[in-house]
Amino acid sequence: MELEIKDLHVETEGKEVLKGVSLKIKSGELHVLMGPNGSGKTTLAKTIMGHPQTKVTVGDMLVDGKSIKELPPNERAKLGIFLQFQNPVEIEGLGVVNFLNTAKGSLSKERIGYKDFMKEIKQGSERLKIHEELVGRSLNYGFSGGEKKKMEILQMAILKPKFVILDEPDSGLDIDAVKVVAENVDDFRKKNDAGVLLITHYSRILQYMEPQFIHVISEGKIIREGGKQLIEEIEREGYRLGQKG
Amino acid sequence: MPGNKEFIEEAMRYYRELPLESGLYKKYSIEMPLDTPDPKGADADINAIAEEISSRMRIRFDAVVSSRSAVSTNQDIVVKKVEELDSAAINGKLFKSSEDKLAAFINSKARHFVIVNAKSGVDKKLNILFINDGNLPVQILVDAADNSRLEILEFYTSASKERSVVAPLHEIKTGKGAHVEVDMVHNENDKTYLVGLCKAIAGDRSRVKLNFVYSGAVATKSRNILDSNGEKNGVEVNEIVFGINDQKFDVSTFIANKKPFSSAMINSGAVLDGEAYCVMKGFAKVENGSKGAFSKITERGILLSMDSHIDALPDMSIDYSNEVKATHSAATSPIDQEALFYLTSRGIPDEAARKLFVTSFLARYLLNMDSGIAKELAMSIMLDKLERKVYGGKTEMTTKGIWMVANEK
Repeated sequence: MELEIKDLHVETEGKEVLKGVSLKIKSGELHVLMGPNGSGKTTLAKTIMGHPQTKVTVGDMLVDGKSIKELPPNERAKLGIFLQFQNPVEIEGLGVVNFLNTAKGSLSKERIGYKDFMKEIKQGSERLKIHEELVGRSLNYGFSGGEKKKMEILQMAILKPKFVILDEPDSGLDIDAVKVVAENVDDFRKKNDAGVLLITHYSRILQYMEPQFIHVISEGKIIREGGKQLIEEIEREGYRLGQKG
Repeated sequence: MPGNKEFIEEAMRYYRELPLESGLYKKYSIEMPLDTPDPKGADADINAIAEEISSRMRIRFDAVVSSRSAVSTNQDIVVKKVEELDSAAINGKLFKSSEDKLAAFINSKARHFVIVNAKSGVDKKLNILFINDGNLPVQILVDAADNSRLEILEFYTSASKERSVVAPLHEIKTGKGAHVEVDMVHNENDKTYLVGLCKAIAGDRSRVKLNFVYSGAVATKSRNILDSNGEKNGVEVNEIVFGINDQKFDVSTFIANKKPFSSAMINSGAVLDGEAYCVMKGFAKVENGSKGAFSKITERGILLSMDSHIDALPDMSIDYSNEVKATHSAATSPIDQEALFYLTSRGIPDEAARKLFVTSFLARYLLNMDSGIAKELAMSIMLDKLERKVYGGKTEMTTKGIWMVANEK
């Protein structure tokens, strides 16, 4: 399977944020997108998922050659796209289990028994070191920043998408939690042959993963692409390296 | 006593002159047709209706009260016709004619009294079914002795096909250390008007929690007065309104901290669709000498349509400002678009995501109920209303997995 971003130009609130981004993510690949603040990383993530405030003016997004540009977010999710939100919303009154059950039921006709479902959630929570009590609460309501990020990864593990877009999964996490999240994501990718686009500012999370492709975005354009060695360059020189060509 | 017509006019005049119904708040007040005559020829088989509801909702009711009859099968609930009532039994009632003419009016019209006296130390859960097959003015008197614990579910439904008025008047008193929760779930039909009055006084170290669920009736007007009248006690009111079509709701609640370290809270929430209207008036007063008191009003609303409207009017009066915590807030908005995007991004279709958001909002308030059965009943009714866009009809007891969450409160 393949998720292809072709010459994507995107406006939000009348301002062009993405100015011709192209990417190709195949099953099982781990891509990393890095770039300074305001360069368009989150806009790209939201556009792929179909955020109503992002307007594609030029270009397209394709899953296995078929355009998803006109599809609503839930249809994109059905094609296997999953976005881990940088700032997940809090919904008081919506139980985590009820939410996961509703989402799972919407994505697949395959029914899973309550006991098996709860077992799956329990195992996922244990792997992510999520306190059992959190699963019994309202979705993200009153969670710490780190707990919210882990809850996003738990959702990924339960919903089993084919393409995962991770928008700064490491921000707000302590050192141990970064390792737990990274290992869970990489493990998920390998076991499910999922394509992953990881957006991050920091190289620490990449120590626990095996990224194959690094992309650097600046001012709405991909300015450098390469393998893992590019991370060291970014660490050394910052995002100015893009100007080198 | 003046004649009926004069009494009604006097009551309504007095009512209109109350601070909430005049001046600044006049435009936020809705009129109720209190002079509605009893429908002629009402011949609903109350026993059959009660049995059917009990079986469908899987609730065993301890008492059934209708416009024309009242039966209790539980010795903890005494029902009396007004002519059977010993005046001593209602001596010391909290509402007095001189204080509130509307209460006096309902009092004078009430055909039945429902009396729950909990003796010291008892722990009871009681379910009462109210069926209006005509006008239903009724008084409910709850007296919880020291250290008693009462959980009362009241379910209101309609059997009348003509216009009628349901007017429950609650008077609740708690002794030291008592704990009383009354869950009032309203699902009257679109011919019914609801006028609710409630006054509660909480004694030392006692708790009074009143949960109002307004889903039925074409128009609702309620006024609740709760005094946190003992040291280290607490009163809490949770009001949830779900309105569709042209339903109207005028919900006023007063809370007062009168003693040190007392706590008083109002949580009001409304979800409106169609051309529904709701005004939430929450008033809190922290009286002199209420050292260490806690007072809070929270009013929240969600508008599902362009033509629905919510007025949220929290108000506080703090006479004692030392060592008191007092807050109030109000917010109304359409469904949060970011939340909707989040839910749809997980594969949930737009319409289902909107419903999930609404039920989550309703659940916030229902989670405050201690009574599992009341919570289940209220959510079933509102889920059915959300699905079918009707109210006051037959509802199955199903919440479709909404409580797949441990109660965090």
